[in-house]
Amino acid sequence: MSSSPPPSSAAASPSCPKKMIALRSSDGETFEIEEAAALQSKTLENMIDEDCAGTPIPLPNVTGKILAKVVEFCSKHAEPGVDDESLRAWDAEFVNVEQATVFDYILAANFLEIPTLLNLTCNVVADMIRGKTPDEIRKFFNIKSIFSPEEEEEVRRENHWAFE
Amino acid sequence: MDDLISDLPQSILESILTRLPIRDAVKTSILSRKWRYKWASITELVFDDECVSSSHDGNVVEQSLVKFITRALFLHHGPIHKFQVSTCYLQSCPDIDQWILFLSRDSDVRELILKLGEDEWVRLPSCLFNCKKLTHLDLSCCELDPPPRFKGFSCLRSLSLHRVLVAADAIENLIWSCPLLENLALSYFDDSLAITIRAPNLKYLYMEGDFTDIFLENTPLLLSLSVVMYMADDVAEHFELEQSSNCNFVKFLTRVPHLVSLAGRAYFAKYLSIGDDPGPLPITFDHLKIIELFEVSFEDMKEVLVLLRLITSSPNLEEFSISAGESTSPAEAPDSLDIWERECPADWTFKQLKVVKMTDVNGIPHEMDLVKFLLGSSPVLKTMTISPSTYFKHDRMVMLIELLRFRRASSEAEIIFLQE
Repeated sequence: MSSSPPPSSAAASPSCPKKMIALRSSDGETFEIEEAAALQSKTLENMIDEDCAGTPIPLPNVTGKILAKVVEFCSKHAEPGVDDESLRAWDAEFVNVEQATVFDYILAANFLEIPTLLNLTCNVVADMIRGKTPDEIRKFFNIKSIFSPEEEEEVRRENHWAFE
Repeated sequence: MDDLISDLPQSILESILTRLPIRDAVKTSILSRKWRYKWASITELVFDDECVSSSHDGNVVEQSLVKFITRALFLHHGPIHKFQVSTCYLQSCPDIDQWILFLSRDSDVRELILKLGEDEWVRLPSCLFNCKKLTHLDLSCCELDPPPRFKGFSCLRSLSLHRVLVAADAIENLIWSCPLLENLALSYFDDSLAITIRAPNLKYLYMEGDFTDIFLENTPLLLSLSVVMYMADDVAEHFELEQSSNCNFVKFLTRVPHLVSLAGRAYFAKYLSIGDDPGPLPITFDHLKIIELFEVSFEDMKEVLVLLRLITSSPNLEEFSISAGESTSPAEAPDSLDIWERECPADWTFKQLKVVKMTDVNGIPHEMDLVKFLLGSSPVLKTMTISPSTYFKHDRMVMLIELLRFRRASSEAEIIFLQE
């Protein structure tokens, strides 16, 4: 066995704190996130590379309420040693929220380019649509259908092959 | 509550709609004026039997499906990156030709998957080969005829051909002309096939079927190899008589030194054993972590020798699974039984071997010698699972008693004997 020092690991030792990144939400709240978690977001990854990490990174498109949850999501997904099944269960709980919040997550995930969160939330919305009749979908999402009867007839004719 | 969904950016909506069965996606056209054509620009179109109402009449289903796909394509606008049709109902029909022509005109398509019915094999049109941006091609139950001037798919990373009617040299040329190919699966060609594979970037190879010969001429980067090799019994014997002294094992495996995972079933071990024993191999498979060999004939000394050479060239093996096949040759003379002592390198250890699974065990001498060798040379072994074959010829108690005596290099090793 050689006597060279052990290779450095990603986990920090007490004498070497993990690098924290500061984020500021649209409503002025500040949050801290570990670098490893921040790297889940391609947007943040680019900003960190550009070395703007001194002052808090402003995120004008994300409110404090949502940013807090996004930080929680990214931190969880950056945790080492979590097995797939528990992570899936955690994800399911994470998106077990009201509809409006799911859409907030989608928009935040899109803006911050977090593929895992975007994938998760899009699946949730797809599940909300699947199997419902058009009327049920309209009711669920509060979609106002402003078709005139002629327009609606035209659309039905155009797509009758899907409604048969 | 507001309508939060209708004003989502189009890219997100497309991502959501792509996760729905295409019929549900098209039905969103009726939700509101805004929604009329949101479905029509999704970049992935996946069609299957769920698109249309079921019927006991196959012709009716076929017609409905053809109508569905054709109408969808006609109303669609924008690039199509993925086009998939999976159904057993579509027989030869001119519509398939037109769909592929449509796709090849804009040639944006990256993934093309056609899994068709087994009754009548559709001959795919030559315009398929104009889809220059293909990265992923997956065909099942059809006929393929690359035009002579075809220069290859320069972006193709993954190719899967299952029950495809195509000449052997046409496949070889196709593979060779796709320089980025990483993933190749070939299964069930109509006739027995002898094939040479030249694919300098290939990492994953799966082959299943009636192959008389497989030559990996240029696949230096191969990481994972899985072969299921069927042979009619009379072909197997005929093969043996014809073969020269070139050892298949050397010819086949020494060109893939970076292999991480190797799996072989049916006649694969027998195929490797054809030819003269090369002696200890000059190379080692330093990266080979997983070996799975099924239907090995433990009564055939040549196959046992192949097994021995393979595992004693794999010092970093972590998982080993093996099952015994039915005997295909008469039992060997007793003097071959000491090959384990003779041919295994002295002081050989499997430094990483943790899991061993043996199934269909018959308790015959070569099998027991393998178990003894593994137990004695695996200091970090955690589990060895042994399942007896249903045709177990010897007394199980005798086998277990013998097993108990074997020296174990790992104090943590659990030997699990599975009764059925």
